[in-house]
Amino acid sequence: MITRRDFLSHVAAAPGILATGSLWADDRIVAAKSLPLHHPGKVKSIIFYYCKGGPAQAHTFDKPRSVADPLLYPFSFSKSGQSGLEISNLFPRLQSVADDLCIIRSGYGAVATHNEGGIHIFTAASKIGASLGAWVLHGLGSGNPNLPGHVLLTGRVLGDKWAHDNGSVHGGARSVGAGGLPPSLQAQVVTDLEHPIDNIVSPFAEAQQSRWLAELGALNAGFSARHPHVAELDSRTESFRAAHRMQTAAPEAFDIAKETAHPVMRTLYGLDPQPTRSTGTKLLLARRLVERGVRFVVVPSMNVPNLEGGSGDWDTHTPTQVRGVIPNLAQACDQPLAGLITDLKQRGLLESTLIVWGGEMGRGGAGHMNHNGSAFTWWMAGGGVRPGFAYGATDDQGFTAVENPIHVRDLHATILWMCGLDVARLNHNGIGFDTTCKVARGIIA
Amino acid sequence: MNGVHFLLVTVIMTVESNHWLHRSPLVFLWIALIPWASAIEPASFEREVMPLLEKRCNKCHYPQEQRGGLDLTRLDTMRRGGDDLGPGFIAGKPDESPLIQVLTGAKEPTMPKKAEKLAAAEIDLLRRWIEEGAKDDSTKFSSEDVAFFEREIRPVLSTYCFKCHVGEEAEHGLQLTSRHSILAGGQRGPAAVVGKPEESLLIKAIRHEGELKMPRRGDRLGDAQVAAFERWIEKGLPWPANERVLAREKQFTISDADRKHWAFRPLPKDLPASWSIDAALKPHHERVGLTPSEEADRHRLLRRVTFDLTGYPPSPEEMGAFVNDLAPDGFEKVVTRLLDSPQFGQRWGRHWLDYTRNGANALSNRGPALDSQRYAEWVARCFNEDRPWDWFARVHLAGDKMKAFEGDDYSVDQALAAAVPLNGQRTFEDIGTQTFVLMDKLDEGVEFMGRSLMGISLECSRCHDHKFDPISQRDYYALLGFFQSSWFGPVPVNTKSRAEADAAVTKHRDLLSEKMRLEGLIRYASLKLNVSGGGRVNQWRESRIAILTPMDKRLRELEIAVLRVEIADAEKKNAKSLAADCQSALVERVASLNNYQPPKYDPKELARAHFIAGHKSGPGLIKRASDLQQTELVRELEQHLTYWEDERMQWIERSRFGGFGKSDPEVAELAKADARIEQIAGELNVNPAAQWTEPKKSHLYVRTDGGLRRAEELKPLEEKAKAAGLDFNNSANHVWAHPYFVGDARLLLRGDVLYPDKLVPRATPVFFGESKLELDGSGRLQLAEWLTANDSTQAALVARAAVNRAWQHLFGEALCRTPKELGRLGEQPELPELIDGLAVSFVSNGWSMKKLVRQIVLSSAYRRSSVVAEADLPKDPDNRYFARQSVRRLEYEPILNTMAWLKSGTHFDTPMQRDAVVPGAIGYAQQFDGPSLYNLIDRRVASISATQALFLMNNRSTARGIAADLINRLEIHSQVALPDVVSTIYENILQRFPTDTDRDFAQRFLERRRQQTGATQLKDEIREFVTLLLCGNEILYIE
Repeated sequence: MITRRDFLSHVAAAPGILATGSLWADDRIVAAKSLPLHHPGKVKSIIFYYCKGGPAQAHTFDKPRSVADPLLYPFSFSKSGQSGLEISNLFPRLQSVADDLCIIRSGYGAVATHNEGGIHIFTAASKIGASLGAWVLHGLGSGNPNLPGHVLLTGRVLGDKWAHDNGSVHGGARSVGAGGLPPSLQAQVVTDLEHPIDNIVSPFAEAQQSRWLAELGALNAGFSARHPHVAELDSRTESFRAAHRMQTAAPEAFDIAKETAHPVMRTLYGLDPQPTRSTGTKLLLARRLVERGVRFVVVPSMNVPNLEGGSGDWDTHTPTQVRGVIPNLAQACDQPLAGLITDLKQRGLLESTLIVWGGEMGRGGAGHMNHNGSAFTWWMAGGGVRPGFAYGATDDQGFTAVENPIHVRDLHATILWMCGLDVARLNHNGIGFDTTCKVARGIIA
Repeated sequence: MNGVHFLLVTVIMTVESNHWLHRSPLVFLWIALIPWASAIEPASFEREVMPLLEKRCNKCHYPQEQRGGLDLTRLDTMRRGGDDLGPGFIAGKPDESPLIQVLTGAKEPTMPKKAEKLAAAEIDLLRRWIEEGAKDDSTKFSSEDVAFFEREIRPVLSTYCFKCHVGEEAEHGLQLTSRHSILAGGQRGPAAVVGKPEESLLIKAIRHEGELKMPRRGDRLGDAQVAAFERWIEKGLPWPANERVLAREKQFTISDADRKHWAFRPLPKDLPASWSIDAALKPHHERVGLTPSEEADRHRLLRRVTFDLTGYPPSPEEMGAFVNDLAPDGFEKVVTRLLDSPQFGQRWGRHWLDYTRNGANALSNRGPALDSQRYAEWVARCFNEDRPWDWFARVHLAGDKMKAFEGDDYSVDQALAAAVPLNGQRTFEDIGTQTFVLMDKLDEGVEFMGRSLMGISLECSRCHDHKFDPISQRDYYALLGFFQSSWFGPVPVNTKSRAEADAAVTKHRDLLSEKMRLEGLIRYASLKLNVSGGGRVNQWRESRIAILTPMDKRLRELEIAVLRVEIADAEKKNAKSLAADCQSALVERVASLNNYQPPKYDPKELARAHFIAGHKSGPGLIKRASDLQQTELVRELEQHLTYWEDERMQWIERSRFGGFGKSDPEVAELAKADARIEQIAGELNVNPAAQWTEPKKSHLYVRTDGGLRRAEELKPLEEKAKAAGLDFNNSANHVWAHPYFVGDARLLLRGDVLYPDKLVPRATPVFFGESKLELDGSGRLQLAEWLTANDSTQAALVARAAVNRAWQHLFGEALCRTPKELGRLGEQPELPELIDGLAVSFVSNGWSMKKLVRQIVLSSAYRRSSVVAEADLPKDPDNRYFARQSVRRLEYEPILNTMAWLKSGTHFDTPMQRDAVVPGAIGYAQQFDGPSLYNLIDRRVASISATQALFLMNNRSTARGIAADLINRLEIHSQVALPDVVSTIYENILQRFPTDTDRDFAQRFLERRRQQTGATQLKDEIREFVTLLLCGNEILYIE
């Protein structure tokens, strides 16, 4: 068992893990709750491609058995891969990796308004309003003390004249926040891909800063000697050393120049065509981050042009938006996500990384154009989910989850389970998860 | 059919498993394999029929309700039947029995109403039972045995068990309400085995033998009660024949353990004369074997108390004065000075703001916004003037209905404070969610009253009776009515007169209604004009296409012209990829112009300002053209900008006025109405759907009686509006226009607005005793007075919550470490009698916060050093007995105060002034755990992270910037060497003199620096040393 002092000096000061009076009150809390897994788990990191606005499952990954008005139903599906998963023809690249996808068609329990829905889809299971990313980081601990463990990646690359915004998450800071968990578990928000982390550049030369840090250590040692039992003092000294390491680690992690010079990578992630260049870049960055131990990366979809004029996100309320926006939204993520899956696989990282695709709710009603909390589709890939598999089903029209319904909180519990974390045992100061959370074993390979 | 009966056998086996377990496994197999199990076992009334009726029919057909005159809980009342269909069954003739007929649909009314039909197997069971003669096979008991049950068992069951083990959602699936359900048991198996108490789970649970201990949380049954249950099970669980099910809904009960909980007891009447904080702690120190630490040295003591009371460090002058003041009351004088400083109110007001979601707003999803700055200033004033805490609590419920503290008739500040509990989150998305979100908002009102004022979790009872505290769901809705009956918003009123305030509110509401009425009028009239003209709007729109075409084409030509210039420029600069991008755009634009199709114009399409003049998402054509010095193009583009904006406004106007222009005589009436709407909008200065903007100076926020309507009333009101030719719908404002509501709230089943139940009269929670409030209007004033009524349990809670938090702010940890949950779910304090003692003296000192703070700060406990003896640490590692002071990191505000003070040498009166002085002040809030706007915060976290370190270490304006400013302020000249100013630096930054070790460290720092860098710039050396202290640990921690 790791001792508190070891923990403090080596891990605690890492970004994303911190000391609070109560957290440090007890050796056992630190050792038992922050580090060891509850059971073996495959997933070490999660990349969440968040579809802002609530994607219509009927046009993407859940083909309805009956369509009330064919005029409002412009897209077709194909059986894809060995598994024969039915996927909309809007996603030709994802169709080609269908055998890696686990499509969950029976999500329910979403809140059918955007702002609340966004908060709910990321925090529903938690009794203290902490986001899924914060819990993953809390449960697994930092995988790299030199990088933030929880990242929200937004922004556009230079030369993107296509997307209309940087991408964002409904519910704002709360959706990626720490809730009642220590605040440093909240996501580091990247809005500028060129300058992802504030204050990262040291005004001093390396040698000078190293000397300065040594002096800081010496200064703090005097104060610590007065209070040897206050462990967080050492932890704070260590946080400066971690920051120092981050100065090199973060720019290295965010520097994609070497990879993007390679034509194969450019094609794989779609870094050249306008519709995919920003999304592709962010997913490539996400891969670099998880490769370096970052636990949870959220990449939100962006506002894209409407083929029939204007722009929009996945909140498609009118036939014009369905016809004009959905194809562009699909195109924006199709190649990059398929590329990400392929890339992770080639690097042997797909087993330890979970990719999630989904929004804050589903859609139903006339032409699948209304908000719907009773059915939504997410898909996952990697991380030990059952590949080439469709879990659950909706009714004939695709409005209500009827077979193996899986609540938003169950999705959280299941994702955490795949990380080796049991929501029944995961808590902070004794407060943890909604007791009604169930793990959907059916989607785990 | 075979399958069905097979299933029934299995059901019987699980139900009466005790019975079957005694048969041999062979018998078990034999029965399972025989299809017609009924041949050997007739349908049982007790085990099968009764439970089925209970499950599917008796939510309506039980003795107290008897829907349709029918009671299906007993054989004789079933035989009697209901009002319409005569006897419920005819023995032996199922097809002629109404009970079966209504289930199969052979007779009206079909049953069950509003629920799923019974399964075929279930109907079949009833049919079979009637066929077999409809007999009651229930075990019969002697009247003595039943009397025993009534005397010894029933009262215990109903007092201790029916809080949870009742109805469909019974805890662990176990219902203890009928003999059958006890034998059937729950998820853990049968609760009792007939005649065998030793094998009965129920007995094990009430004996507290194993892991399962019942009743939960205290209240163990007495030995005699346990013995009675044993005898009862021995006797075979006798049960009255005429009352098979004792309860159908969970019963709220208050237990002795509830009454004995430390925070729910009344406060002691008075304290012994010898009582003091130190006297209360002493026996604990002796018991645990702790030696209290010495009093802290004078520097550290002054630093601690100055930060704790004002949030600022002491100045070197203050330090000098205190250290040299050898009079015995030196410390008392300091405390008096600090309590009298304006910063005391800022600091302690801030502690309170944590419990009000910052009293803040400015977030788009929280409407009507509060004037949080004014509120914060008022809070600071209340603390500085030491207004009594009980009054302060009352103001937060009914400040608008109370006299002003200053003696006037009315206080806008108090009305604003009263609005704080309603400052919940809210969106205006559509009517379905509006009611839902509205509910959440009210929820936060009850939550505030519980958590912030009383320190308990009232809001837990929204969906069900509180699982741990004596608060029922009914209590919750009884309180909700007070909040539902009131409203707050920005009203142009700045007065000390109640009459004027009321008039302003009335006028404000009238304006809102008038605006809504006019909006409805315009919409409706314009629809009629449009339709009567055969689609006038579209006709007009189509007429525009020919007019717009040449302009549209010209605009495209202009874009092409800009592109051509850009290509030429890019090629000149050899920017190949840019040129290629522009080229492909050019090709596409030219092709599209050659095949010109007019666009589908609508007001959105016509919004070309972004395209022409630019937007944050990209530069517009004008900028692109002017960057390349195309003055001609720029001039023409500017004309286009005006043209298209005018056109767009016309489109909007035509659609608003049914196809007419605003100045057309046909719509003169409507144009007048429109002008009036604009005028009203200006006067109201409020749009709940819009982003929050700074209020007009004359607009102050008030709370007043009369709230929003209940969800279920929206529909009828809407119909009423329609009948009057008005359309209230499709407007974010529409709930505002409905008549205001004063009345009781409706209980919501499972807390869900979609399932409203009975009205619950406004009242205070039953636990706190009978209180007959004479409600005036919303009743908030009476609620407020009740909350702090002399010698009441609720007032005791308010006092305990306050003293517990004051202790927390002065020791870093509260006496009860869950300061917004003093109820049974919270942590048990080690020293409840100390909380009670402080509370009694707090109340007897007129709820004076300053006296309370003074009392704690002057205790020896507060003044002790935070250095702990090695031997004492293991005896009290968490410092729960306060034999030493704590080491704690400063919160964000004192950190920022310190930086501001170092830079300027000033103690600021308000946070605004302070923030103006420190560059990047907001960064400190983000890095050092500033409070969230979303939650009621009961403790600040003190996080440690690398981004914090980066912020201090690498940002030019933080540590290094402040260091430079401090050096300038202290007028340290560039010829001065570090050793000469070490003392000044320590006094200013750490508020103490340097020790020999510190001087030695400074000396060695210099040597090492010179050795490694070869540089000897004296000023740089000092600056780096100061920066080091600013980044170090000691400055951020209170000892």
